[in-house]
Amino acid sequence: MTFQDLVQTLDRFWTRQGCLLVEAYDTEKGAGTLSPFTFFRTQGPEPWRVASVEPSRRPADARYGDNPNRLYRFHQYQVILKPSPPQSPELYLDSLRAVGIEARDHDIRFVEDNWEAPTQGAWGLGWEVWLDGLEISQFTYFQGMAGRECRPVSVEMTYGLERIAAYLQGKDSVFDVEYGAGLTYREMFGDQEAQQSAYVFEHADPERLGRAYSDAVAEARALLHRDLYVPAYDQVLHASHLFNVMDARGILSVAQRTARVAEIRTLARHCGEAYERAREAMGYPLLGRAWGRGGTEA
Amino acid sequence: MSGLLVEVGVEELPSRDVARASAALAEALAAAVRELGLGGGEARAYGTPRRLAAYVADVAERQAVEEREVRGPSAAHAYDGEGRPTPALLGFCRSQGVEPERVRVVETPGGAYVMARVRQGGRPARDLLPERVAAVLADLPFARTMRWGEGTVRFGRPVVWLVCLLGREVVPVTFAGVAAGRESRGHRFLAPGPVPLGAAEDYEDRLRDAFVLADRAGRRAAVRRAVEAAAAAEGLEAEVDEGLLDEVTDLVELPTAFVGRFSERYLALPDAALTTPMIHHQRQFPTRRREDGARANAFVGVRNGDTRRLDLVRAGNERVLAARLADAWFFFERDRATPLEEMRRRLATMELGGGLGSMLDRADRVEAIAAALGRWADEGERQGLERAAHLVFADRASLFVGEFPELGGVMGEAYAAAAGEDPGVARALSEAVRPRDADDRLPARGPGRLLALAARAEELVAGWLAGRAPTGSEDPFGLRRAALALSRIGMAGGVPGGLERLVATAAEAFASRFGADERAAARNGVLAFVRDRVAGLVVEAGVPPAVAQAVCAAGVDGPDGVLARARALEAALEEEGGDALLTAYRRAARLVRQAGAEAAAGEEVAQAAPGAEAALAAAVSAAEEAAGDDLADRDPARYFRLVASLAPSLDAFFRDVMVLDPDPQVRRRRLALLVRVVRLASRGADLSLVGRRREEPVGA
Repeated sequence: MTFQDLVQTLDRFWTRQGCLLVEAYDTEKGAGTLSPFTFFRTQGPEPWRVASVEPSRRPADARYGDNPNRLYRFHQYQVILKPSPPQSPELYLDSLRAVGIEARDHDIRFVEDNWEAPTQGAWGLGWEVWLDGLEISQFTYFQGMAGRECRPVSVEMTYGLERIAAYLQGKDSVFDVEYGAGLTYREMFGDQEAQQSAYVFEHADPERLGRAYSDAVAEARALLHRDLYVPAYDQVLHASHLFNVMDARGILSVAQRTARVAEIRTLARHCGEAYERAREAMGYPLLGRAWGRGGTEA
Repeated sequence: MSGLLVEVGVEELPSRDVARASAALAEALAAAVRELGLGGGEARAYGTPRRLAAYVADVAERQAVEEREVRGPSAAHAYDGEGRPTPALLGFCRSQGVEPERVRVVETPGGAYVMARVRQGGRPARDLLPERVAAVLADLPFARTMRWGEGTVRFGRPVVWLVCLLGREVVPVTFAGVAAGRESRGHRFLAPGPVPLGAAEDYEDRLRDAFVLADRAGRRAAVRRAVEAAAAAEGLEAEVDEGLLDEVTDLVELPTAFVGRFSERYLALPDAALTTPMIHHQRQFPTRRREDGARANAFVGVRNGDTRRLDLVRAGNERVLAARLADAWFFFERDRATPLEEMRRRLATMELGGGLGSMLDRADRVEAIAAALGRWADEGERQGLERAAHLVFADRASLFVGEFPELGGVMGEAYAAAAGEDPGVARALSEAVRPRDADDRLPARGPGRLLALAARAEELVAGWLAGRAPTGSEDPFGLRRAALALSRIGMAGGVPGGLERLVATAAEAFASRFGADERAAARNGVLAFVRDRVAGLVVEAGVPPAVAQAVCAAGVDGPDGVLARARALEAALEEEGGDALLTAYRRAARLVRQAGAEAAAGEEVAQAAPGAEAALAAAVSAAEEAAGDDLADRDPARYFRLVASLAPSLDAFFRDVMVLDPDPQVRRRRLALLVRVVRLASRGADLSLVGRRREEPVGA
């Protein structure tokens, strides 16, 4: 099963579960959880089901393409079910069966993982899912988002696509994975990894980074004054990414680091509050809507 | 009589919750049965990642019936002039469920009252249990609880099913929106369907048939047996870490062990660098070769399930460990190519925050503190200290420790040894991080021990200076652990130069960053905090808290003598005359305190009046001479006996002599004598803190 087969199989599986299939959000982000389709929609009382591939940038994990498991940019398959349905783990296991992982033949474990994303004011409880000792997914019941309790609770399932593909293809390195059409992951993304690594570790200019960060924060603040939470949140995502680059570049003191995490968290919280106010004013339009199931599969 | 079974099925619980929550369930269920008047025999706890269950034997189907007399209103209020029941009587009868004509009037010493004979109990268990069982479930302890879906109930993980059987009957409990039935579930993958239970007694057997070992102790033993057997079959001996065994026990419902291999080249890694990824990251058991006890390039993994396609599981586990070891090897090689001095310089890029400077500043401070300790330590212990102190944190800048912070110190030893440093110096670097936690051994006598003391003192003073001191249960910087480590090392082997001098030296190391007042405050804060930890450790060793407090209040400068001093005081108080000692001491201390400045001024040694005063003066002089400077530490038992031996002379003194004589000179002379008594008695303990319950408070 190629990388793209894997994605398509998951798409089919989750659309059958009534998920909307959305395209990846087009701003840099460190994880699928940061997508507005997760960040905003898991707040408030309205139901929501969505699935997407979210390219995620982790500057600190950049390795010039030399390390078989570590990447500057990798792909998460992100699923949100709100409210979390009964037997969510069984649904997840069914999705593994769909991609050819028969639980009976392997050792699948749900290992405790208490998740927290300080810059989003988000926290949750759940598991790392292990497949024969390999962590392939994170599975989280969101308890809080943007600093407020989640009611109802959403469940997030995040698949590490590179790892699963490598496992399915029996490859020791994600760079040897066949992406599709006979091309390997290295052929697709090798130059990206090398150049982004050089950028974050060697060439990112500390001063310009600092300015860009400050501009993004200022822009987010200005937009929030007008309750424009959508573009404001884009600026928050941008600032978070710049923060991650600065962190990887090793130019943040502990005090600066702490201050910036708090700054981003506050902005994210304000975005969340503006969203909540707007949805409330609209009377929570999705509330009580029967959430469609199936029908989209060919 | 029937057995009562409660099982709550859950999505996978954190392993650390299973044992505690299942034991709590059994205990609370047995207590509920007892309190409901349903008897109840032996209680058994069951727990796996997917279920918490308890069985209570010999539960009655019905409460026993009890009859008892209940007193109602007085006869005068119970009937009107015509002898008809008043509303007061009717209300009483309603509340007790008796007919008005069935009550009678009884004469009591307080007058005539209505009495009713009331039958109580007799309610069926199936009516009583649902509410109580739900309450028991709602109250189970978890490290963290969560909500799920649209519910508001909090539990360790989402509740999936519920079984509640009294004998063969379902008890209609509802919890977290789930109604109890008789269907349990088997192993998630091996028996996914429902597992109907005929009776509560069938539980363990039916689950075993469905590939679940519900009994935790039995499952733990099974994991151990499986691990050992798998290793033995390949000529290996598994190293069964008890903590890992507990964790694995609560990650599986049915254990099957297998041996996996990795490349022999990784055996060149420092041992901890090899076993840490196995134990902490992959939950695998390291092994040794049976023939010579050498580390083997094999591990034992435990699968949650049976032997089906064990080859796939083994291959997957081998691949993941190989990737982790490849990472470790890569770091190790890169680090070994970096001189230790270069690593030490890189510490400058690691900021500590809080105005404490960088990790390099910390390394410099610890080096300076260790140099002072070295001056006070004996020749044998300080061998190699200077070099070791210089290198003490260098490995924290290594790639390896960046990846595995728990190996700080251990890698330092490996890199120092590889760089050709003196073996004693290399060893000191890994000893310096001991004890890591309450279960770790203490650093061996030598430069590593001195470094451990210096580093902990620096860490604590830094914490206080940066405003990071623990408050209540909050201790984000782990300073309580650092203080406990310092206390344990000091209590076991002493602190060269004394604890106070160590902490003062540590505070001085911050002279370029913090003012004298801040440093003094930090020093006092740390000393008080460490004193409390020492007192806590003395209590843990079995000494009564008041005695521990009293002994520590007299000083923990030499922490190695504190426990012996506490035991000696405890013994002295239990001996004949212990109470007399306290009483006499308190009177002396009270007078001295009340006299205040006058007592403080009364240092003059004048001729004592003959009689009780002279006798006491002679006794005190003799005791002072016998005590010398250090008897309280050297031979605390003798010291406390010596202090106690003053009690009769003190009693006689208080009986026969008026201390507060009108003549100021006499008064001062007598107070001066008491001051000497109090001083002598305070060297080993603050006796005012002992036994307050039995005695009047001091200086009230």
